[in-house]
Amino acid sequence: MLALHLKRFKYVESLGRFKKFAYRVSFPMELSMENVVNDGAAHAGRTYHLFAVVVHLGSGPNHGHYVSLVRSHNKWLLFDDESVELIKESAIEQCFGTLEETGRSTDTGYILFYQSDVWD
Amino acid sequence: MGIAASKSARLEKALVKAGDAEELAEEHFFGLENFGNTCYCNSVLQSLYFCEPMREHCLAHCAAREAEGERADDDLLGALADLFHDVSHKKKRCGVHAPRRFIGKLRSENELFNNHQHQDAHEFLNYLLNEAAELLEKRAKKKKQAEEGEGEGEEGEEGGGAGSSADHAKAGAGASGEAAAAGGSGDGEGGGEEGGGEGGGEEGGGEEGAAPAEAPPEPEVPVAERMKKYEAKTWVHSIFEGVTTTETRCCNCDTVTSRDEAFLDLSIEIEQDSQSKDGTSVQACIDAFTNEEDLKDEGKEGGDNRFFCDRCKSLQDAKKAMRIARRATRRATRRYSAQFGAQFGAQFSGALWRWSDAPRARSCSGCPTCSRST
Repeated sequence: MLALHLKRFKYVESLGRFKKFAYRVSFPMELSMENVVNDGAAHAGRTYHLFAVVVHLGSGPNHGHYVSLVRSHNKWLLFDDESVELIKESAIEQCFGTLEETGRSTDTGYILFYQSDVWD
Repeated sequence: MGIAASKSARLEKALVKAGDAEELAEEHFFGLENFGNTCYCNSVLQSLYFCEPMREHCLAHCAAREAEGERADDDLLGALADLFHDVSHKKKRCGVHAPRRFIGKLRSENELFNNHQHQDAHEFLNYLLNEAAELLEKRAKKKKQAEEGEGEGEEGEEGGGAGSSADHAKAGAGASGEAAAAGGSGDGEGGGEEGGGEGGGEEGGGEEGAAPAEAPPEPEVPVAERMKKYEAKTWVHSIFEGVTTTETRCCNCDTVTSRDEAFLDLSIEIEQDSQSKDGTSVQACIDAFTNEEDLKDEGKEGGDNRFFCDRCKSLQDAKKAMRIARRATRRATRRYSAQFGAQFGAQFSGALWRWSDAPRARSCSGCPTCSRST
């Protein structure tokens, strides 16, 4: 298991406050971490599969909303408090962030949960 | 209520349409009620619920508790386990659950979350994992004490704080091979002395400090060896714990100082990539995080970033690189059962470690960025 937290909220000295950085950070369905095992023998790269994303919606660090995208048996679901919806895997890309500072989309992946594939 | 019911019906319909796989039929998809800006909680809880080993351990926790006839444990972990238990034992597949007890417990346990303000989801995740790990450690200690009270001694296991970090600077180049070579030079090391056991330092002194003619590539310290002290203390550690190893190599004496730091979740800096029209990627961020870095005097602008080498007893140019070691957890494949609880934990406790492929701090010979010229 690998829980990755993207530091999207950073203190900006010139502003004297925390600011949200919504720029695009794409995250793959499969994250490969080439590895070296204990005895030094090289093993095939191990793959981590994305299974959940906590998404922050909104422009600032002190407000906005959180939802999560979760994979269950190869189906993706959007959990938004009380509401649960089945979504397409391709919809996850909408949470990578924005390329322009003025972009409308401020849905940004914030915490990524990866699980390694079965091994040995 | 009416809206929620119709939403559940819609999801139910969509699931049926999506093909009713057997596993999907057993699964539960429950929205969580918001108690006033508790979306930071709900989003993390849902992610953890669908984290297989996390859920299985929580359910095993409930089962073990029942089996031992204990009363409900009144702590955050107990509340989390109960929440997962409640959702997974719903009659219907879709609906809405009110995590009232969990939120209540969270608010009473931690002042930070005891309000109706917007909170940072990561801060909550980090708190929850650390708190759960700590509660499990306390429990294990208590159990052990109780068992010892009955006159049964078991093999020791020291319980340290969760997410502790450990320093272990190894003089003589973090690897056994070179350490042996350096060992010959004995204790009589003066300041600024350079490494290399076989009296290789004839023309030594000064900045140019003679390198050991050809530093042998140090053998890798087996990752299992290095990570021995990170034997999974609790199942929370076994699922989430990883270790970052920072290696700093002094450019003067080639000594490697390493520092290990355990984490339950890994925070990574993200930098905007203005060159690429696609922005940056998580992979690139991890690479940047682990990439080799030069520590040197950057002058007025960058400040003096040189590294204090314990061997040279002075500030030196150095190279720093970071590696991430991850415990290799097996995916849970079996369903829990009450009597299976203990074995289940054992399945996860194997200390199997893997290192990421980030480059190690290289030897400086031929390096253009530091004073060493050959």
